[in-house]
Amino acid sequence: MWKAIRYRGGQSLVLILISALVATCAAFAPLFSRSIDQALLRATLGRMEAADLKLGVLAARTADEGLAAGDVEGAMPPSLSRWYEPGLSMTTANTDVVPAAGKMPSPVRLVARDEVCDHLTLSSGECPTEGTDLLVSDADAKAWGWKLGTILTVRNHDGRPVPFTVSGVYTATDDPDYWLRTEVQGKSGQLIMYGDLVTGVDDFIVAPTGLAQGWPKAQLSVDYRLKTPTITLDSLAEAGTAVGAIRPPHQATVDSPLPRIAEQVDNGQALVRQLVPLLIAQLVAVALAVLVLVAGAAVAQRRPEIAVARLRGRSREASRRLVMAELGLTVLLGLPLGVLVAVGLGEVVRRFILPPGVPFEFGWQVPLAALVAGLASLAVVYAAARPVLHEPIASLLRRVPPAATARTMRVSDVVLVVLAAVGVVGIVTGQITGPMAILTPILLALAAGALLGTLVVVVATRLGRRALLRGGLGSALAALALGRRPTTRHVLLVVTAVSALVVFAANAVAVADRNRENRAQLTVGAFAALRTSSKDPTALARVVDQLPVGQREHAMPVGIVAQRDPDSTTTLAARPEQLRRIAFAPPAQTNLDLDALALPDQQPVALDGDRLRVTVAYDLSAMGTGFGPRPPGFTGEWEPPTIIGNPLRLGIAVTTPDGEVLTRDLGSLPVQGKGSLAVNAPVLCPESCRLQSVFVQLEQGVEIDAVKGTVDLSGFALDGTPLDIDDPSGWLAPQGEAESPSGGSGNVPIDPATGFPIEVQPPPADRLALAAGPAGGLRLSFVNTGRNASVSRADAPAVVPSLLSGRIPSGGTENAFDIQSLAGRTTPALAAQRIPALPYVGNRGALVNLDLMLRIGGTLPSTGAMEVWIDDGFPGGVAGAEQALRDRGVEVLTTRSLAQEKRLLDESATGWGLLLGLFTAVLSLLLAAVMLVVVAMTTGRIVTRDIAALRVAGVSGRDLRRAAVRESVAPVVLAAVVGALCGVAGATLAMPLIPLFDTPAPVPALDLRPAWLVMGAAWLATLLALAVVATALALRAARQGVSDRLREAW
Amino acid sequence: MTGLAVMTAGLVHIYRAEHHDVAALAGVDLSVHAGEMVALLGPSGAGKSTLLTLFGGLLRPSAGRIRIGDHEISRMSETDLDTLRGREVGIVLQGASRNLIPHKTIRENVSFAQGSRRAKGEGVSTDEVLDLVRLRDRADAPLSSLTPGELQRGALAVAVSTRPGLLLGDEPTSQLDHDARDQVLQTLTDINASWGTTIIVVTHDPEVASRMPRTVTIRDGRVGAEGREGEEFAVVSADGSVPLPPHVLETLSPGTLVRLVESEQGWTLIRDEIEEVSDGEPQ
Repeated sequence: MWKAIRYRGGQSLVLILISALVATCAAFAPLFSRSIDQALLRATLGRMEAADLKLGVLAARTADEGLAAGDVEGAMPPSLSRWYEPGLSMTTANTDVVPAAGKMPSPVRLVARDEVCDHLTLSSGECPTEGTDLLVSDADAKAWGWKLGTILTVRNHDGRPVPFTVSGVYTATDDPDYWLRTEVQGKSGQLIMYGDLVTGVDDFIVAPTGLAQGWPKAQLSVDYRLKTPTITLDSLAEAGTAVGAIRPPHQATVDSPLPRIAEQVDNGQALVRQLVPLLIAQLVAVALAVLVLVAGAAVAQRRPEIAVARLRGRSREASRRLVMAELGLTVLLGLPLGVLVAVGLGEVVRRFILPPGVPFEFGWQVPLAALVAGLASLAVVYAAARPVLHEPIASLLRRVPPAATARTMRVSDVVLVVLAAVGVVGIVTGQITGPMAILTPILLALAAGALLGTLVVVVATRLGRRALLRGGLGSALAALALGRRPTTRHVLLVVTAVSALVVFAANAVAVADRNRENRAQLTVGAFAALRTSSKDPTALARVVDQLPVGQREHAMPVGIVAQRDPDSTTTLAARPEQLRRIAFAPPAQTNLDLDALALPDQQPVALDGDRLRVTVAYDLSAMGTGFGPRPPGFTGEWEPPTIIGNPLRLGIAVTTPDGEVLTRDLGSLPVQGKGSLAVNAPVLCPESCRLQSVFVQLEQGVEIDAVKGTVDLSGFALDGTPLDIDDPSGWLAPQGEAESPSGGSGNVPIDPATGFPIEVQPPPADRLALAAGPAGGLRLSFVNTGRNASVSRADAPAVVPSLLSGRIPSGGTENAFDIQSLAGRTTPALAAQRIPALPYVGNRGALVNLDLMLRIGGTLPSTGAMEVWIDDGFPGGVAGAEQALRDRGVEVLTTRSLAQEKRLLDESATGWGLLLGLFTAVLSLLLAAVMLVVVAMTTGRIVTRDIAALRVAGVSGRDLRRAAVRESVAPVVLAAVVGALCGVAGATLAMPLIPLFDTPAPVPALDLRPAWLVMGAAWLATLLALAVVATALALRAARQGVSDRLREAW
Repeated sequence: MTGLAVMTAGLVHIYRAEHHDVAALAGVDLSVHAGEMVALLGPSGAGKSTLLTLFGGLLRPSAGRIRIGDHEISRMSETDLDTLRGREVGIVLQGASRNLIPHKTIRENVSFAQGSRRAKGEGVSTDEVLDLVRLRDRADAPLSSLTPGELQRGALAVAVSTRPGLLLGDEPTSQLDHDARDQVLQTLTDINASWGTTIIVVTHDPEVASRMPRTVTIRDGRVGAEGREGEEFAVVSADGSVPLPPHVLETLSPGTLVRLVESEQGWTLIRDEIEEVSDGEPQ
C-alpha cells in the first residue's frame, strides 16, 4: 500500500494536501469559534474596571445590631475563592459633623475598610487603632484647620454625640483595584444641599472597632475582586452558577456582573456560531469540489490497475476495496496534517490577532470536526471511484477512457442553478435574512460556473472550428481542446467560485472595516476627544484659543450637555468652522448646513462697569375701569382707581458669566402722563455681564387692565462711556409673552348692578414694538397688561438655530423645541437642518454654535462636560494634547480616541468573524491554484501527447505554445470575470443582510457602497495568480510535448 | 488444471460506434481442442481481438454461444466470470504494461494475480511460475528496469499464475525484437508443454503464426481459413458456405460458376468454362 502511495508521490501528495485542507477548514472552525468566544470574554473583561467586575455583598445592621462585615464575609461559600480574591470588607456609617465653630453641620461618612492604611498616604499622624481615632483628609485638614488631636464630634443615629480624635491626616493613593470606586475624597469644599447649602467634608477613616458598637444603621459591604485570568468561558458559567447559588445571611444583597458579562458574550457567541460555519462552509465546499476533481483524477489513473484486478478475477467489490484502501489511506493521512495546520493557524490567530489572555484549547469538537471532514473526504473518493468500478472490464481496458458527454447539463449543475435561484429569490423577497446571506455569492458562482461550463464547451468547439477554417491555428487548437477536455468544466466551476469568494470576501471585509471606522468616528467625534474636568465653557474655550500656533488649529472646544433621560436630545456645542475642519462628518452626511449656525453679526454688549446711565422719556396712559369714556350701557361707578407709586417697571436683563439671567431695574414709571427721567442705575456685575434685553412690565395687583404708550430710551452710557445701542437694528423683534394675542390681565369690568361682566369691548392685548425714537435712541411702543415684555439684543437669537439629528424632542416641532443650554437651562431652539447623525451624540443630538452658547453664558450642569477635540495633526497626538491641556491647568479626565474605539469595534464577534472571510478567500485561492496543478497533472499525459502529435504533424512550436497557453489561461480569465460579477452581485444582495456589528449601530445609516478598489485589487491579484500558474503549467506541457511522448513508456 | 477446449457456435458481436451498429463478428463457428495452440490471424478490424475478448468473458456476445471447457460463458454471471478469469482463463493484453500493476515487481504482480488461492496454498507457487517464464532472477526488480521482453514474459507469468486451462494472448510479441519474440514464443510453448494449457493468441506476425500448430484466419467477422502445420484450408461454415481466400477470389470473381467434382483426393473445385453472351445470359 505504501508502495502504491509512493509510486504516485506527486498525486498522493496533492490528495493528502487537499484532504488536509478540508480537515484544516473543519478543525479550524471550532478552534476559531472557541478562540473568538474566549476573546470576546477577554475583551469584555478587559474593558471593565475592577469595580465593575467585583462581587458585592451589601448588608445593613437593621436586623442585627452587632453584625460585623466579617460575619457577612464568613458566611460566604469558600468555593468563591477559585474566582475571587479574598473579600474586602467595609463598614460605613453616615452622620454629620460641625466642621468649624458657627458652621452648619456637614454630612460625613465614617469608613472602616480592610487594609485601608495600606492605600493611604499619611501626611501626619498614624493609622487609627483605637475605636475613637479617625483620619481626616488633607483637604479637610487644610480647609478646617484640623490637626492631630483635634476632637471631632459626630452624632449617632439617635443624635447622641460621639467624640473622635484626629489621629492622622490622609491622602488616598490612586489604586482603583483597591478602592473599587469607594470615593473617600473629593467632597471637601463642595457645596452640597444638606437641608441648607453646606460645605462637603471628606470621609473620616476610622478603625473597625470605631463602628463596632452603637451604629445600628451602619452599612456593611464585602467586595470580592474577580480574578480575571481565572475566568474563561467554562469557568464563567461555573462562577455564575456559584454566585447565583449564594444565599447571603443577614438579609444581605448580592450584586454580580457575571450575568451581564455572560449575556454580552452570549450575544457575540450567537453571531460567531452563525458566521464562522457559514464562512468555513464555503471554503469546505470549494475544497471538496477540488477534492472531487483530484479524487476523480486519482481514480482515473488507477483504471488500468482496476482493469488488471478485474482481469485477474477480482470482483467489483474486491477492486473497490483495493482502490479505497489506497486512496482512503492517502486521504486519511491528510487528517492529522490538517488538524496540525488548523491548530497552527489557531495559534497564529490567538497570538497575533486576538487580545492577550485567550487560552489554547483543543476541545472534543476539533477531532470530531476532523473526523467528519475525513468521512466527507472518503465519501468524495468513494463517489469518484464508484462509477469507474461499475464500468465493464472492456471499458476499463480501453487506453483512452470514454469521455463523458460534455454538452449537456448534469444533474448536479441543475441542482446548483436551482439552489442559487432559490437563494436569490429568498434574499430579494426577504425570506433569507441574517448571516445565511453569506452563502449567496458562492451559490451564484457555483450556478454560474456550472452554466458557463456547459456554454463554453459548446461555444469553444464552434469557435475552434471557425478559427480552423480561417487559419488561426493557435486559437483553433486551444478552443477545440477546451471543447473536448472534461476538466474544462472543473476549472470553470472552481475558478468562478473562488473569484466570487475572493471578491465578496474582500468587499465584505473592506465594507465592514469602513463601517467600523465610521462608527468609531461617529462615537468619538474626532481623532480624539479629551474630556476635561472644566465646568466653565468660556474658560476652556479660552484655553484652547490660547494654545500656541501649530496646536490651536488642530483643537476645538466642545460643550456637551446631556439630559437625564438617555433617549432625550443632547446638546452639542461647537464652532461650525472648527467642527467642519476637525470633527468627522457623520456617515452619509456630506452637506451639513453649518452656515445656518453662524453667529449674529451684532456683537454682545458687555456691561463691565459700575453704573448705567440712560435718559427715559415716556408718554403713558392707563386702560381699565375709570379710564377713558364710560362704555355705553355701563351703569356702575366710573372712577379711576387709586394707583400708588409708579407701577410700570422699566429694566434690563443681563446674563452673568455663569449663565445666570438677572434683571436690573432702570426705573419705575407712572401709568398716566408724560415725562422723562435720567436713570443712573447700578449694574451690579463685578465679573461683567452681557446686556440681554430691555423690558417693561406692569406690576401685579394694580387695578388697571393695562398701560399703553411709548417709552423712549436714549443716551445709554456705562460709567460715562456711551454704549452704542441706540440703533434699533441692533435689537431683535420683540419676543416672548408680549406676543400673546390673548393678552389681557383678566380685569374684565363687572357691572355692579347685574354682577355680570360687561362685554362691551374686548380686553386689551399685550403688544410691544421697537422703533427709532424721535430724538434718536429707541422707542418702545406697547400695551402691557403685566406680562414680561422685552426687546432683546440681536447678538443672540431668541430661538437658537441647531442641526438636529434624529427625532424632534418630545413636545416640540421642527421650528420650536427645547434644548439644554450649556448652563443646563431649557432653551428654545429650531432645526435649521435635520440630519441622520451628529458626531459623538449620534442620532439624539442638537448641534449649536459654541460661541452663541458662550454669549448666552453658563456653567455646566452635572450632566454637562467640556471636551477638547483634536485632529490627527495635533503635535504629539493624544499625549501631546493631554500634556498641553495639563500645562494650562486643565485636568483631563478621560480620553476617547478613534484608534481605541476602532479597536473596541474590531475586537468583536463580527469583526473577527468577517476577518475569517479573508482567510477563506486566500485559502480558496490556494485551492484553485492547486486545482490547476492537478488538472495539469491529470491531463498532462493526454495534452503532451496531443502536442507531440501536432508537432510531428508539422505544427510550429510557437503555435503549439500559443495554443497550450490559451487553452490553459482562457478558462481561468473567463471564469474569473464571471466569478467577479457573481461576487459583486452577491455583495449587492447580501451585504445589507450581514451583521456588521455585534450590537446595532446607533445610526442605522450603514455605508454599504461596494469597495470597488479593494474588490478590483483582490480580483486582479486572483486573476494574476491563477493566470501565472496556468501559463507556467501550459508552457511546461508544451515543452514536454515531444515525439517521445507518443511511445508507450513507464 | 489441464487445457480447456473452446467452442463457439454462430457467434455474433455487434457494437455501436458513431451512431451505427457494427458487426465485429458475424457468425463464428470455431472449435479449439484442449491443449491446442492456436493463432488467430486476420487483417485489422477483422474481429480477432473481439473474439479473444469474448473468450475471456470481457464482453458479452450479441448472439451465439461460447463454451470454455464445461462453461457456457455467454450465460455466466459477472461473478462467475470473475471466478473463471481468476482460476481457469488467463489473459494477456496487448502491451505488457497493461497487464502489470506498475508499482509492483513481477513477483508481486504474480502474487497479486494468484490472490486468495496462493494464500490457501492452492495452485502453483510463485517461484514455479517465475521459473516457467524464466524470470526468477529478475522477479524482484522494479518494472522500469526490465527489458520489453522481460516485461512481456512477466505479463505472461501473471496471466498463467493460477495455471489456467486457457491462455488468451493479444499480440503477445508486438513491439519486441526477434530475440525477445522468440523467448516469448518459447515461453508459450513451454507453458503449453508443461501444463497442457490451451493457448489462443492473436497475432499479425507471420513468424509467430508459423510457430503455431494451428492458425485461424478471421476475415469479415467470420472464420475465413485455417492453417494446419503450414498448410491453409478453407473452412466450411455451419450454413454450408465456404469463404475463399482473397487470392482465390481474385480469380473467381463473385458470380463465377464453379463445379465441385469428387475425386480420389476428395472434392475439387472446377471453374465452369461456359461462355457468356453479350447480354449476359448463358447460352
